[in-house]
Amino acid sequence: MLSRNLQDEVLFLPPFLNPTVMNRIATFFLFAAVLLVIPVGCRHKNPNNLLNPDENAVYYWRTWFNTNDYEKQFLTDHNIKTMYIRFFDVEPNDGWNEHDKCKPVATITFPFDEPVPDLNIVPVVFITPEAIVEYETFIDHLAHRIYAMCLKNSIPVKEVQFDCDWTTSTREAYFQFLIDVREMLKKYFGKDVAVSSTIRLHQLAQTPPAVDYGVLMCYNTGDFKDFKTRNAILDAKDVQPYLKYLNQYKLPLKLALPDYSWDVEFDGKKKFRRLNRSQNPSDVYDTTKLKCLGDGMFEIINDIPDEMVKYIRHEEVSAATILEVKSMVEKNYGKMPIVLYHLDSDQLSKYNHDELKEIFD
Amino acid sequence: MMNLRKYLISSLLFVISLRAFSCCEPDPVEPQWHWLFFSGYGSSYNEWQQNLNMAFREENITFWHKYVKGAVSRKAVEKALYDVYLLNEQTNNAFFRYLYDHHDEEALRYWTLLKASDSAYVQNVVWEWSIWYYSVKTGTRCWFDDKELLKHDPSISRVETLDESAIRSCKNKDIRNRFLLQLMRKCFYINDYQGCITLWERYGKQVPTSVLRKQCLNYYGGALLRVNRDAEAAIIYAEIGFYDPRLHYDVEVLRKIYEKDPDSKAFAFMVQEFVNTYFDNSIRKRNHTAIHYMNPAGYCIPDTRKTVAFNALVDKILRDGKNRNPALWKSAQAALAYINGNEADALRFIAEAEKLRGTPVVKDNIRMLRLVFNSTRTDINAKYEATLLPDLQWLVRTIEKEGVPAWWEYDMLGAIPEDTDFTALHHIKILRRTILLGIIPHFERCGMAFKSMAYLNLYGEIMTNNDIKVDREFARKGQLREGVNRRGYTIYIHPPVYREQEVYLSEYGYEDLVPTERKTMLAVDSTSWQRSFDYSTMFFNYMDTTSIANVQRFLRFMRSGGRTAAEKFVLSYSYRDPSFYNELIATKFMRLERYDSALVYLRKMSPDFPEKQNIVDYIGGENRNPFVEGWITQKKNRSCFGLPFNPAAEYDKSPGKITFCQLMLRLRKLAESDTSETIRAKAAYAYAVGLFRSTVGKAWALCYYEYGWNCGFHYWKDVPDNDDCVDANVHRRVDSWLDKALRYNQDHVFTTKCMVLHSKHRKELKRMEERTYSWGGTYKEEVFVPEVREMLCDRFSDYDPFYTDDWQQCAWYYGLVNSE
Repeated sequence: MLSRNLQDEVLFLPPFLNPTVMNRIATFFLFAAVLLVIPVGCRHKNPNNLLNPDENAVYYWRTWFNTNDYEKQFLTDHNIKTMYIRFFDVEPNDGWNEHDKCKPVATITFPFDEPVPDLNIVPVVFITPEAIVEYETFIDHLAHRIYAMCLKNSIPVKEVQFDCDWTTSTREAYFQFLIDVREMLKKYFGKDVAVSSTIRLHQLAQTPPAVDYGVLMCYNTGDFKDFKTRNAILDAKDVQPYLKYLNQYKLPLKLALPDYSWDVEFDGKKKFRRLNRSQNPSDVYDTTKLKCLGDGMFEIINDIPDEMVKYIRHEEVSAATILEVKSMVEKNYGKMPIVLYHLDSDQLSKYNHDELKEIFD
Repeated sequence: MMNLRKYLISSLLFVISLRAFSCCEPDPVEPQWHWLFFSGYGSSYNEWQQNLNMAFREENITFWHKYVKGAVSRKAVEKALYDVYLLNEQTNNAFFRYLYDHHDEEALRYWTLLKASDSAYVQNVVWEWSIWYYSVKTGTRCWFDDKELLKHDPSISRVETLDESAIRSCKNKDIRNRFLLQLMRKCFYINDYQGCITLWERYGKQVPTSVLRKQCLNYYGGALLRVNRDAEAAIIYAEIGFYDPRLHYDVEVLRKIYEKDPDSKAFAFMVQEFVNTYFDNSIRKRNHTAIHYMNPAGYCIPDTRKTVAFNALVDKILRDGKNRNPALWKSAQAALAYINGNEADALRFIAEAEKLRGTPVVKDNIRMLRLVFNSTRTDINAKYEATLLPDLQWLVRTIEKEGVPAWWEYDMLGAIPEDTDFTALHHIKILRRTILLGIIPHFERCGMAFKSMAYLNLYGEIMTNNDIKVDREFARKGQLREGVNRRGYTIYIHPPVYREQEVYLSEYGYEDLVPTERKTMLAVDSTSWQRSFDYSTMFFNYMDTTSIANVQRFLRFMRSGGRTAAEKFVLSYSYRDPSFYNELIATKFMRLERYDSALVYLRKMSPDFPEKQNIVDYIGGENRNPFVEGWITQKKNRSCFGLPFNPAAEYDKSPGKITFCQLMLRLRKLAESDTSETIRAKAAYAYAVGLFRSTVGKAWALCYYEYGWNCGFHYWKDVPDNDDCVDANVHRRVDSWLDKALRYNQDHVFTTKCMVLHSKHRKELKRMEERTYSWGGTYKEEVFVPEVREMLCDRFSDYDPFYTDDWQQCAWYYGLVNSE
C-alpha cells in the first residue's frame, strides 16, 4: 500500500491518468452508456417486424364485415397492409355463473360471401374497465373465442390487440391480463401470438404495459359532454400536454389518427344529451329548422322545451389538424407507423386522395 | 357442489326444453318499438313471430297426438316437447315410452335430432351459459366442440350420426319433412347458412303448404339474408308474411326485386317495411331509447338521400306501368314526405295515390294516412275537426266493427292468440297516433283543453268498452279477470296503459323518464289501486293535472252535447258519471285548501261512490289518519292537540274526504277567531298537521290520486304553471300555519314540535321529488336529522338559551319531542 501510494505521489499523475480512477471512470461511462442505450434500443425495437414504419394500417370498427368498392380501392391506393378488426367487446354481465360475470357483446359478423381481405389481420378486443378487474373469470373463454373466430373465418393470426381505458385503479389487472392472455393465446393457437395494446394519451404518464407495442390513440382528446368544447375528437391543444411523456415512453408505438365525425347534442340548458353518428351536414340539416352558430354548432330554431335537444355540435377533423397533430407527435417521438381510425367510406370520402396520402406518408 | 351441478344441469335442460317447446325463432333480436305507421301488408315482426310459434306449437301437438293414434294424451305429447332433453330409454314420459315400446326408430331419431338442434340453438344464441361460445363451421358436428355440454349429457353424442341421410332414408313423409325442418334449424344455428339453403333447395319442394313449410321458409329466408341474398330473402319473407329487422330495406333491394319481378308480391310487404324502418331510423337518430315518436313538425333528421332514391324508383315504376299496385308506391312516397316534414307534398301525393289502383289494404291505409296527415296540419283552424271527421268516424267505426283485439294481453303475456286480427291492431294504433300526436297537440296550441279531454275520453272509452266486452267473454266462460274497477266490471290493468302516457308525454320532451321510473309514481303503497282503470287513463291524468276551470269547462261542453257534427261525434263517446267528476273537482279544491268549495262537490257525489273508488283503505285507519302525528310518536298515542275536540278521534269515526274537510274548516275557524291565544296556536298547529298529512304525508290519498311530486305528473306540460294541481307551494302554506302557531305560543316543546313538523314536511317533499325521478336513488333517511338540526339552529338563533352551535342541545329538544 505504501509503495503504491508513494508511486502515485512520485509519479504525480493527474487523476484522469490514474489507472484506478480511469478504471472507475470507464466503468461509469460504460454503465451510463448502457443505461442510455437500453431505453433507446427498447423504443426503436421492432418486435417481430410488427412496426414497419412504411406499413399503413386501418381499424375496422363495425359489427358487420363488409367493405364496399370505395373502401377496397382505398386499401389498395394507400397500400394498407394491416387491418385491425374489432372482434367483440367485453363488458360486465349479471350472470350467476363464474364465467358469466362478463360477456362478449357486439361480435362482428363475417358474411359468408365477403372474404376477409388478404391483409395482415389483427383481431382487436375492447374490454371495459369494469370487466377487466374480473378478467380471471373470462380469460380462457376470451382466448378460445378469438381462436374460434379466426378459425371459422379463415383468418391467419400473428397478433391480437386489446383495447382498454385503464387507469391507475385498473392498471394492475389489465397489465396482468396482458401477460396471462399471451399464454392463453399460445395454448389455443399452438404458437406464439404477439400482443399489442392501445395506449390513450392520459396513459402515457403511466408505466407502459408488457406488450410488443402500443397504438397511441390520438383521438377522443376532449370532453365531448362539455358544451364549450370545440372539437372533442381531436384538438392539437388537447394533445400538447401529453407530448412530454413521449420522449421517455418505454414502448414502441404506432400512431392512430381519426377520420370519423359525430354530432354532439345538448339541450336548451346546454346540458349534454347524446352522441350521434354524424352524417354529412349538407345532406342532413334542414336550414329552415337549424341556425348555424359557427364552429360546427347548430341551434334548433323551433320553440322547444329546455329538456329537448336544442343544440347540435357537428364535429369532424380536418386534414390540416390531423397533419398538425401527426407532426407534433413525431417531433417528440420520431416517425411512427400510422393507423387510421377507421375504415368507413362515409367518413373517408371527406378527405381527398392527396390529403389521405399525406396522412399516411 | 354436486347439488349445484345438478341444479345447473337441470336449469340448462329446463331452458333448452322451453326452447324446444316454442321450437323456432331464427332471429332472437330485441323487439323494436314499431308503430306500424304505414301499412301495405298488415303484419309486423313480433306479431308474426309469436303467431307462428303458437301455431306451430299447436300443430306439433296435434301431429304427434295423431301420430300415436291418440294412444297417449295431448298433455303427454305437450310434456314431451318440454322434456325432450330427458329423452332416453328409461324415460317416464308416456309419449316417449310409447315410441320406445313400439320401437319406432324413425320417430325416435327425429326426437333425438330435435334434442340436438335445440342444443345448437341454445349454444348459439339463447342461454348465457354459452355466452362465450362461438360456433365453428366445420359441419353439423361443430357444436360438439363444447366439451361442457358433452360432459353434462354424454348421450347427446348419439346425434352425431344424424345428418341429411335421415331425410333420405325416412319412409314416413310427414316425419321426413320434420327432419328437414330440424336439420335446417340446426344448420341455421351453427351458422352453416349455406347448408341450410342447400337443404331447402334440395328437399323443400316436397313440403306441402302448411305451418311446417312456413317454419322451413323462415330459416331459409334467414339463411339467404345472412349470405347477403337480400332480394331473394325478401321474396321468401313476403311469401310467409314475415319481415326480418335485419333485412336492409333499402332502395337498392327494392330495385333488385323490381328487376326480377316488377309485380312481385314482396312489394306490399317490403314497401311497408321500408317506410316504417325509415320512420323508425329517422326517429332513432334523435332518440336512442326508441320510444319517441316524431311529429313531422318536430325535430327528426331524415335521410334525404334515401328519399330521393326512393322517389326516383317510384317514378320509374309508375312510368313503366308494370306494377298492379301503384297506389302503394305513391302512398309510400306521401309517407316519406310526411316523415321528412313536407306536409304539402305529403297531402298532394296522398291525393294522387287515392286515384290510383291499389289493394284494399293499401286503400284503407291511404285513408288512415290522410287522417294522420290532416291531424298534424297547422294551416287549418276553424275547419280542423270537420276535415278530420269523415276519416275519424270511419276509423272509429271500423275499430268497433272489428273489435279491439286482446292486444294488451299479448303484450303482457308475450303470446297472442292464433286468430288475432292484426289489421284491427293497426287501426287502433293509427287512432292513437292521430289523437295523441295530432289532435291533442292541436287543441293544446289553441288553448282548448276541454277538447283535448274530449278526445282523450273518446280513446279511453273505446278501450274501456272493449275491456268490458272482454270481461263479458271471460264471464261467459265462467272465468274472472283480475281486479275490479270502479264501474264494477272485472278488469285487468297492464303496463300498456302507462306506455300510452309515456308516448304522449315524451312528445313534450321528457325523454329521460323511463317506464321503470314512472311506474313508481303510481300509488306506491297501493297495489289494488294501481289496477283502477278509470284512474290510470290519459283522460283522467289530464283532468287530474289541469286546472279546475278546464275540467268545469269540459263538463259544460260535455253536457252541451256539442254544436257541430264533429263535436257531437266525439261527445258521443263521453264517460258520464257525475260522481266521478264531482269527486275529482272536490279533490282539486282540497289541494287548494278550499274545503268549503270541496264540500259542495263532495255532497253531490253518490254515497256509495267512495267505496267503488277502491281507495277507502288509503284514507282510513290510524296510519292514514290526517291528524295523527305519527312521525313523532311512532306509537298509538294520539295527540289531541289540547283542543276542545280531538280531530283524530273525530276523523276516525267517519274517515273520508267530507269529514276531513269539515274538521279542517273547524280548525281554521278556531285558529283564526278563538279568544284564547293558546287555542289559536294549537289549532293552527293541528291545521298544519292536517295540511301536511293530507298532501305529502301518509294521508296523501285524501288530496291526490298518486303519490309523487305534483300528483306524479311533474312532467306534464301544464303542471308547472298550474296552481290548481301544483302543490310546490304547499310547504309555504304549512309554514304559514306554523308561523301563526308560533306567534301565539313560544313554549319550547311546542316550538320544537312545529320545527320538527316543518322539517319533516321538507323531508317528505324531497322524498317525493326523488321518488319521482329516481326511485331508490340518492334519498337517505339521514337527511332528516341534519335538517332538523339546521332548522332548529336557524329558528332559535335569536332566542336564549336555544342559541347554540351545539347540535346536542337541539337534539335534546328533538329527543324531547320524540319522547312525548
